[in-house]
Formats: sequence, C-alpha cells, structure tokens
Amino acid sequence: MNRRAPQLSLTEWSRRLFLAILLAVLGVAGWGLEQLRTIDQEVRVHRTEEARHELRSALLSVQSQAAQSLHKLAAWNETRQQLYDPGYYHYWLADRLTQMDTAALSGRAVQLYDRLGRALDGGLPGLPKTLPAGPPNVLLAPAGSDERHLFIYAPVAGGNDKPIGYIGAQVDLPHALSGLNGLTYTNPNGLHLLPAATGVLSGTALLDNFRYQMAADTDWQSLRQRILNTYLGLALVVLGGFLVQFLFIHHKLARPLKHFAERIYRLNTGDRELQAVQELSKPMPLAELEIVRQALQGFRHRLSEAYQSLESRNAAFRDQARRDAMTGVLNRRAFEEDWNALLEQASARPLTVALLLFDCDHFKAINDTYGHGTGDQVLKAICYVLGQVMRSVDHLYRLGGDEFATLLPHADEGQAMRLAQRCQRALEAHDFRQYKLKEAVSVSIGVAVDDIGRTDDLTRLQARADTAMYRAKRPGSARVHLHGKSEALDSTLVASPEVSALYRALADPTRFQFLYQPVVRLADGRAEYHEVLTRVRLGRDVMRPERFFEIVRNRRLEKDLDLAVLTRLHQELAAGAIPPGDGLAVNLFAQSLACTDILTMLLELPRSHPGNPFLLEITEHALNQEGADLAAPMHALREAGFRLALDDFGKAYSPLGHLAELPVQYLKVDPALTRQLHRDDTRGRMATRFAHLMREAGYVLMAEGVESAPQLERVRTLGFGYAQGYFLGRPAENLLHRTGAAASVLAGTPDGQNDPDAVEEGHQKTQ
Amino acid sequence: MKTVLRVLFAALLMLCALPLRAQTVHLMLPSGLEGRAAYHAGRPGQGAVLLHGFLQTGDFSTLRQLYDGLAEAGYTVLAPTITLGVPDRKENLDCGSLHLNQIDDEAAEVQAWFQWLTRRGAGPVYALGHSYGARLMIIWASAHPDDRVRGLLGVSLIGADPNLARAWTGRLEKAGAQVTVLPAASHFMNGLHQFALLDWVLARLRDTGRS
Repeated sequence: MNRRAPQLSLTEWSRRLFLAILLAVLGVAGWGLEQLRTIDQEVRVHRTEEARHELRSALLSVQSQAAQSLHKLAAWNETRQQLYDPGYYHYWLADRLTQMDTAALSGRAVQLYDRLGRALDGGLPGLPKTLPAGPPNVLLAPAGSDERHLFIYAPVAGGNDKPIGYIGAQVDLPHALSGLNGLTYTNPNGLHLLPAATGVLSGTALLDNFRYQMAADTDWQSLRQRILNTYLGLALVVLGGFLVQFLFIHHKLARPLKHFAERIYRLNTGDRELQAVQELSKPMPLAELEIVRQALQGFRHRLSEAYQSLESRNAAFRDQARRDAMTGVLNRRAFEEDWNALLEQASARPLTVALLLFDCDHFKAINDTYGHGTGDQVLKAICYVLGQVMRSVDHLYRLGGDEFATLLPHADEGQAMRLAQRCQRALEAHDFRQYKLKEAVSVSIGVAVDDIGRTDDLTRLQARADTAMYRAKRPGSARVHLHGKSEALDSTLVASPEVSALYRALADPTRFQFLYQPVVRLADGRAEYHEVLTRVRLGRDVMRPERFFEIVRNRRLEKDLDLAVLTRLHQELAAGAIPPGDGLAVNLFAQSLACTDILTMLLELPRSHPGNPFLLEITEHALNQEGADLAAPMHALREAGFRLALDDFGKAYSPLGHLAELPVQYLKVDPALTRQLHRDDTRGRMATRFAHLMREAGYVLMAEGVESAPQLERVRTLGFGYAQGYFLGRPAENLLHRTGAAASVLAGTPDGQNDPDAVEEGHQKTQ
Repeated sequence: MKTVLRVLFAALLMLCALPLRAQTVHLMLPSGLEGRAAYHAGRPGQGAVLLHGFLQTGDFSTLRQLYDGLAEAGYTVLAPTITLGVPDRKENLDCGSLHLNQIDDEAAEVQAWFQWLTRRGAGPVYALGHSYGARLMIIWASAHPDDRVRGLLGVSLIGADPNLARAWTGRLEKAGAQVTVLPAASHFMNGLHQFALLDWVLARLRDTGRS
C-alpha cells in the first residue's frame, strides 16, 4: 500500500491556497464583524444607561423648573386675588397669566384650584378637574390625562401659611425637554408617558413610566459604517489580489508548466510530435523554467543529433547489408526488398515493370581457367560498365554468381530493350583483355516486361526473364532476348520449387539422394557394378528424374550437376559407404569432359579407391559434340583405369560415325531399345541386328530396363555382357548383391560370349 | 467730605433703626380677606396710621422712611397694606391687574385697622397718607369721624402737576388746612427730601400734640 500524498498540480495547489485565504479572510471578517457587533452592543448598553441617566436628570430638571415657575406663580398677588374673587378668571388666565414668565410651563395650561382642590370655574380641558393625589412640586401623571402631558401643582399660601388654594400646570414634556438643549442620547420627541403610568413619578420609578426613543447614534453609526466599508474594501483587495495572483499562477505558471510537463512526457514516451517540439521552443514566462527548458532543448538537440547519427549509421549498415561486398552493387536481398516495394506501389495502381537479367557466358570456365581473382575482376568490370550505362535511378543487383539484374519500373518493352542493347554494346566495347584473358567475354541479357499487381510475386516475371536468357544464350543468338508480355511461358524455365530444390542441392551436394541399382554381369550373375542414380528430394517426395534432367539441361547445369555428384561421391567413398570390390557406374554429361575441375575429381577417384572399379556412363549426347574434343579426356580417363560406356545408346539414333572416334568399350542400350529386342517385327529385328552389329564391332552391350525373365533371357541370348533393370534389382539406397528371381535364369547357361573380359580384350584388339 | 460724612451718618441711623424693625401683623378684614400690616408698638398715648399710595404696599419706601422715623420717635406706628382684593398682599399691584375693589372697601379696611390699633390702646392717633393714601385718609376720616383721630397729614396729596398743585394749595388753605410745599421735592420725596419730610412730619405732630 503506497500511502503517498496525492500529487497535485500547481493550479490545484494555488486554488486550494486561494480557498484557504478566502476562508481566512472570511474568518477574520467574521471575527471583525463579531467584534464590531460586541462593540455595537456595548455602545448600545452604554448609550442606554447614559440615556436613562440623562433622561432622569432632564426630567428632574424639568420638574424643578416647573416647580420653580409654579412657585413663582403661587406667590403672585394676582393668583391669590383670583382665588379670592375669580370673577374674571378666564380673562385673567388669558391675559394676565400669559404675561408672567412661565417658560418652563406650557403657557396657558395652568389652572387654579380652591382650597379643597377643585378646579376654579369647572376646570380647563386637558387638565384634571380636581387635584390628583400626590405631593406638590413633583411630576404627576393624572389618570386619564393626555399621555403626553404631566401635571404639577403647588399650594398657594394665604397670610397664615395655610393654603388658600392651589395652582396646577400641565408640563409639555417634549417642549420642556427641547428647552433643555442638553439631550444627547435620547430623542425628546420620542418620549411618551406610558398609558399605565399614574400617580407620582419620582425616584427610580421615574423612567419606568416612560417610553422613550434613543437619539440616532450618528457618530458611532458612521464610524461603524466606515469600519465595515474598510473591512469590505480590504477583503476585496486581498481577495482580488489573491485572485489575480491565482490567475497569474494559473496562466503564467501552471499552464505553461503543465504543457511543458506534457511535452517532456511525450518526448519521454517517444511521441516525437513536431508540435511538441515546436511548443518546447517557445520561451517560458518564468526564468527558472526557462533555464530548464533551454537545458532540455539543448539536451533534446544533442539527443536528436545522436539519433540522426545513429540513423545514418543504421542506414549505412542497411546499405551495406543490401550491397554485394565484392562488386559493390546491390545484392539479392536488396533486389527482393525493392521488388516488394514495387509490389507495394503496384497495389495502388497497376505497374509495368521490366526485369533485365545479365549472365556472363562461360564464366565458370573463366573462373576455372584464370582463377577466382580474374573472375572477380571480370565481374567488377561488368558491374562498372553496366553502372556507366544505366541511369542513376536504376540499380544493378547481383543475384548470385555471375548473374545480375535490374528492375525498370514504368518501362515498356522498347525502353527495356534499348537499355539492354546499350548495355550489350558497352560490354562489347569494353576491353576485357586488360585482365589477361585470351578470349572475349560476352554477357547474355534476358529481358522481360510485364504488368504486376498486388498479388503478383516475382516468379512470373523472373520466369519470363529466365526464358529470355535461355533464348539469348542459344548459339547464334544476339545475346539479347525479350520475352514479351504476350508470349507463353516455358514451364521448365520458370523458377519453381523444383528449380530451387535443384539449386539448393547443387550448392550443397549432401542434399542429393544417391540410389544404387545393380548392373549384373550376365556371365556369372554377379552385380559387378552399381549405377549411381542421383535424385533430388522435393519435400517428402523425390523429383521425377526426367523432370530433373530436363531442368538441368534447360538451365545448362550439366557440369554443375556432375561436379556436385562427384563431390558427393567422394564423400560417400570417404565415408566407407561402398565396400571395396564393388564397382560403381557413374553418369557423366559429355559436356563435363571439357571441364578441368571435373576431370581432376574423376582422376582422383581410382587413385583414392583402387579397390573399386569405376564405369563412366557418358551420355549419348556426346556423339553430337565434336568427338575430337571429347576423345582426349576420355583417353586420359581410360588410362586412369576407368571403363567408359556410352549411355542411352539407341535412344536418339546418334550418328554412329562419331562412336568409333571415342575410346568407349561399353554401350549401354536405352530401355526403349532393350524392349524392342524382344519384339518379333521389323523394329525387333532391326534392334537385334543392331545389337549383333555392335557386339561384333567389339563393344560390350549393356541392357538397361530389363523388367522380366524373358527380357533377361533375350539379352543373354543376344550376347549382352551386362543387364540392368527392375527384374534384376531396383534402385536402392544400399548396394544389393542378390538378384532374386533373376538368379535362377542366369544360373542355367554359362556362355563364354557373355564374358566381358573377353570382349574387352577383343575390343582392345580392334583399337 | 460732607457727602461722606452724610452717608456715614445715614448708615449709623440705619443701624440704630434695626432694632425698630417692623413687626408684621395680620387681620381678618370685614371683606373676608386677610389683611397685612407693619406694626411698631411705641410709647402709649400717641399712635400713627400710615397709608400707602396707589397700588403700593405699607412697605413702600417713602412710607417706610416715615414709619421708621416715627417709630424711633416713640410712636406706636401701624402701616397697613390695603388688600385691593388680594389676600395678604405683599407686593405692589400691577397696573394691568384686575381692579375689582372700591374706595369704600378701602376706607372700611382703614377703619378696621384703626379700630385694631385703638384696641391696643394707642391713644390719640394721627393719620398720615401718601399720595392716594392721603386721599383715602380723608375719605375714611369723612366716613368714620372719630375723636381719637388727633390729626390728618397728607404727603404729596396732590399730584405732581404744578398747575394742579397751585390750584389745590389755595383751596386747601381756604379750607383751613396747613399746606407746606417742599420745593424741588418729587412726588415720592426721594433722596434728601425724605429727611426733610420726616422732620416736617415730626414737627407737625409735636405741634399738634402741644396744641
């Protein structure tokens, strides 16, 4: 459990701070208002007390003044005169009394009472008819009188100090109080006698009988208002200030900081948005942040430089990976990448692409004759020449060995052919003799043009180019051939799984499967030789031999095949797979006899394995070549201990004229001809006679394709020296010596005619 | 210097007069009003009633001077204040006040006071009036003739009008009254004239007493 404090943004912090300050300001304001309220209350209490005190003094003062005035009136002659004879009482009240100074009383509200307290002449309105109960010279509240007015009376003394009557007066309180000019805390107009108040108003009870209003406390109220205004202003200034600060922090600090942080985060997460980088280039409003930003910017620049340098180095590596080390041109991998890029392009819009394949003729011979150094020089020269001719946008790829290619997007057949011909001319013009070559170097160019689409792969176009190359290589060709879009494809030239399987086997001979089929000497039924049959595996199956050789022939891989087979054979023998004493029949293309490497390897065989006799089966095709060229190596082979057989004899009805020129002792009769020996018709007779003819010429005949006992019997009868076929033994991975059913057939008639050694001797006689 | 001496003398006289300070007496008058008077009991056998002028009181200064002088001279002196309808009147009555009393009422009051004085055994009584009081005195004497009245003295009997005074002086002398004129004296005999008046009054009383 990670109980860390939550990490808040700067805005959040400043917002909380602002809220805290707001609360503090509100708290202080509340405290201040509470203080103010307390003061207000104290002032009110104080003023109330002062008001009571003041009012009490004022009332006493009023009472005293009224009593004084009344006393004066009571002592006045005319008052006593009225009490004696009130004949003109009202006149006196209205005329005489008003002349007296009775300011403390309210003018005319004065009346006289007789010694029994009865008002003279029935009394005046608003004044009590009889003297109210209570002592003289104090303020009285007569029952039922006008609440605003108080009453006061004084006795009027006669000669012997006994009152002869009384004088009473209404006291108009507001009027009297206003005359005092000393009221500060009370409002004189607001003073009212309570309706319930009656009797004597004096002592502590004096004020209890009044309702009074406080005078407006203008000083304190205005001071209070000013304090409140100051408070409000101060609070607004503080809050406003902090609000401005908050906004400042938010806009000038928090937001840029937030964006800044996001930028950095995005840089960190690898999101290299251009905008992020641009925003980082804006100056920050805060100096400290600006330092950080600049540092980050510098760091980012350096990182970017490092990244770019890395990128360029990566590009260099990539380029190197795409280049052929020796020639410097692009390699097969680059070719496939570029092809895929073209496919990508073609997925948007169909594209016409031209593929030019270049192949150096007889390069293997050059390599073999002059060594690899010269071969490499030739290849480099070819690359140089082609590079000179091609546009800079066109790339040359080395697909392998002496095979080169270029891809021309958007090129039509004419353009492709023009380029091919330019290349051809430039190559012809190049002086290859500077590499100390005796013969001219020629390059064949196969050109293919096709529309490619998304679903296409390289196979079809490459197949067309292969076909064109094949045609270009044919003797008499102009060495440039175009396989047009409209032409059909030759399936053997199409790059296929079979072709690639073959190539893989050629590159690694252990991939070949060797099968051994016994070749039985008919004289004693012994499997003197085993023919080595080369097969190529295709997945779980094995490629049909006819198809296999078709590809070899079409691709002119005869020598490569023989070289690979011999390499493998050396390995097999070295591994002890062939017991001493067992002979091996090895197939050899006639073309291979011209190859020094192959001859060297062949000659090595009897030297390394003297216990094993070797029979070389050379294809009948050899008869088509100039026999003289083949004779020399064949003689060398014979001298080395090889027995030589002409394979597939009778299949192509080769001119027999060449046969005599070759030091061949054995003729291996083709299965088709073997089958004809058994027939009893013209063909059968022809074959039989032909067999007789060859035997009589001194050749030992070997029957191939013997599949039944009558066939075996027939070839034995015809004097064949050897026989081979399913009846005698199927091809197998191990050497077989038992011939099964054939053994009984052979056991019957030993025939000296069938002795190959005798034949050999005979043949030697004919030489 | 003379003036200073005179003032000092006057002050000495005042001091001497203090023990003679008047006693205030009240009397229920026939009208029902309570009367008031200043009274000094002197030697028996000779008394004087002093009557004040119009709306004044028995304490009026002119009269007071005479009262003190007479009291000092040993007379029993009574100076009543005519009520003018005001019980126990102590002050002058305002001119504008109600005047409901009649001169007969006033004469009756004088008679009441005269009887009160005679009951005290004052002996022969002299009546002395100032201004209107002199006229009231004559009216009273006419209305209530009495042997105990030894003589009537009127001070400022006639108003201040010189013409009127000349006319009346002749007439009074014709009627047998002795008239003395103090030249330059005011109606109220202020200042030094008051001493002259007192001297004159005492001389007259002595004259009358011997005769």
